[in-house]
Amino acid sequence: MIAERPFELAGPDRLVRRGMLGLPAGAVDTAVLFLPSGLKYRAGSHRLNVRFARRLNDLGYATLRFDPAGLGESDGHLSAARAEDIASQIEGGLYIGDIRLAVDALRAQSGARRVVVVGLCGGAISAVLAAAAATDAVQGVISMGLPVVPFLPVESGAVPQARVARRRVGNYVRKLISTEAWGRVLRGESDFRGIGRNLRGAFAQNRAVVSSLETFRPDENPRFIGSFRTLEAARIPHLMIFGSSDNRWIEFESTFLVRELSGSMAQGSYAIELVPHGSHEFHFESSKVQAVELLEHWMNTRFPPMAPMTRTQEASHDAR
Amino acid sequence: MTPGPRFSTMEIHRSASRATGTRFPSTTAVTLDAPPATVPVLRAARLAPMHRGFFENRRGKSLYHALHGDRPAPDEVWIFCPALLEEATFALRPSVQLAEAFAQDGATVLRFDYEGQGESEGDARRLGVSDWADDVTSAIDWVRQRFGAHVRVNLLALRAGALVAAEAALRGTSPVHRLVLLAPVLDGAKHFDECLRAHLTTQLACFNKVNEPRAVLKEQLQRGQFVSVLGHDVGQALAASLAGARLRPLLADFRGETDVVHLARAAGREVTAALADLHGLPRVHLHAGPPVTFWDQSGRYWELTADLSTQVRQLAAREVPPREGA
Repeated sequence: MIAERPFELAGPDRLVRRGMLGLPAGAVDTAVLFLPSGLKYRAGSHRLNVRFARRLNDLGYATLRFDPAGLGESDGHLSAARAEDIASQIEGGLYIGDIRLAVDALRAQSGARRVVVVGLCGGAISAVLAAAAATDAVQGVISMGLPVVPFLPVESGAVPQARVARRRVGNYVRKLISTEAWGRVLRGESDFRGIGRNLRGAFAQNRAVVSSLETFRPDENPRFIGSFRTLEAARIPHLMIFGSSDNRWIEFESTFLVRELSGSMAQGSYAIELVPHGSHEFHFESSKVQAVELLEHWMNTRFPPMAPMTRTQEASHDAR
Repeated sequence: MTPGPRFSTMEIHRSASRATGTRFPSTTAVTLDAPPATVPVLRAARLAPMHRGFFENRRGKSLYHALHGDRPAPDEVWIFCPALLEEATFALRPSVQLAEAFAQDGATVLRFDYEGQGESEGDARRLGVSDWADDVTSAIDWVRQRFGAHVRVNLLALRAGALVAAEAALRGTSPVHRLVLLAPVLDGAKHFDECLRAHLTTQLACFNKVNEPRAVLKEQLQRGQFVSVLGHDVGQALAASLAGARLRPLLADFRGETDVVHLARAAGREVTAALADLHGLPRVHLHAGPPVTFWDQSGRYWELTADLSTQVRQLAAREVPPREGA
């Protein structure tokens, strides 16, 4: 049987946010909040959050898989918009308030002393922004496939980072043999403006790396950089996991890692781990296993679970 | 004489147009553009309370469910049968909204996750269509235990969930009154081939080349290994069961009424071709839906659209004769 139960939380706006709470047998010292990736729901891409959360429950951590307002089973309605516009909103901190509500409720319901926030892609950037806005309430962050380069609105005319653009152009070339791809072109369903931007980016000169920390460029999310620095200043442990084949990694490596972190994979409170040949969402089983191992090891090191309960403690827990 | 196809496309469109003020295409293929470049707004829309939890299937696994509607003793319950694998993840939100819309009309809806899918317990790698059809039967049994044996059960299914629902309706031990199928997968073998294509795309993304073409993946499945389909590991149980699954023979033998709604990015004239495999079946009604997809990574964000919601609710509200032999 599953040791999980539905979770509900009403915000000050009276909208109900829903989730799934997992409590291990025994007292809990650390609870882990899982966020949805982008516009998917709390189970995560290919139920990655379900897998992670149930593994952590087995190890003695409490977990909450959480749908912010407008996603999954929660109240609220996001008006129809382009995915990139909604992504921009999320990258700008749309869910900071909801995450703070969930952190406080999770702490109260689990009895945990410490809360770690985990997310992939849109969930990762939300985790970083929310933790930085609540350094008194969040004790750790795990961000996977973290997007540090914001979605580029078509209207901006901006082009993507050269290495990313070249990779995408390589994908276009491979698709030249696909009848399905040609069908999309002929039906007018292809994103021609996006293709144009990638071609311009691929053949543009690489922009020079500038060391100034004060100047943000169009390929940087200033909210992320400020939040990252806040987490470092507050010494909040932050694990970043990327698939080495993920465009988000290429973007991160080419911009933030080089410019801001001098290429260092671990320093201060942060650590960066790579899953070899991993995709953005860790699709292959071997990638998932490695991601789980990295997450488990980091949790064990930074937030060791409480010692296993004695039989008396177990009986007392069951009676609660 | 074999009855001809019964399309009610334009009737549905006209009635939906009246209800929503939406203009539908008439006879030409139309592609709906992406939503406009606007700042998305989070509106304070409240969902009615839903009762959530787990029930046990016949293999002893806990299946996640959510019950929508506040009738203490409904005569009729709709059970939503989700799509399979990642399509179910993408479609979760529109499914919640459709269940909510049904509940606002006074209906009772049970949404649930198959074993090893969504938030249900289990490992999907050794499961196939018949296992999940058995989960539908478990859901029906749970509904009848809760509301009484007299309750009429209808199934509403999305994509490959249609194959699961049709098998449950035909071969399950609990009677099903009628089916509504949204964008159903007609041919399981073709669908699984598409799933394997997703594997090739992921290989390209990860390794810049295809190391394991489809033939190799099929051999791996036959040897008992598992293959990733957009992150979901599947095994031979699913491959074999989808290879042998076609919607037409299942619907041909089902004694109740079935409404099939075709959904695609482009709507209009392609409907006839898309649903050609179902032409001529008695008790099966084919409908063209609005040009909307919400179960894949289309680069566009779709919640449940008002026109689709209206169309499906009108179909659900339609009076249908009792099942033959019921």
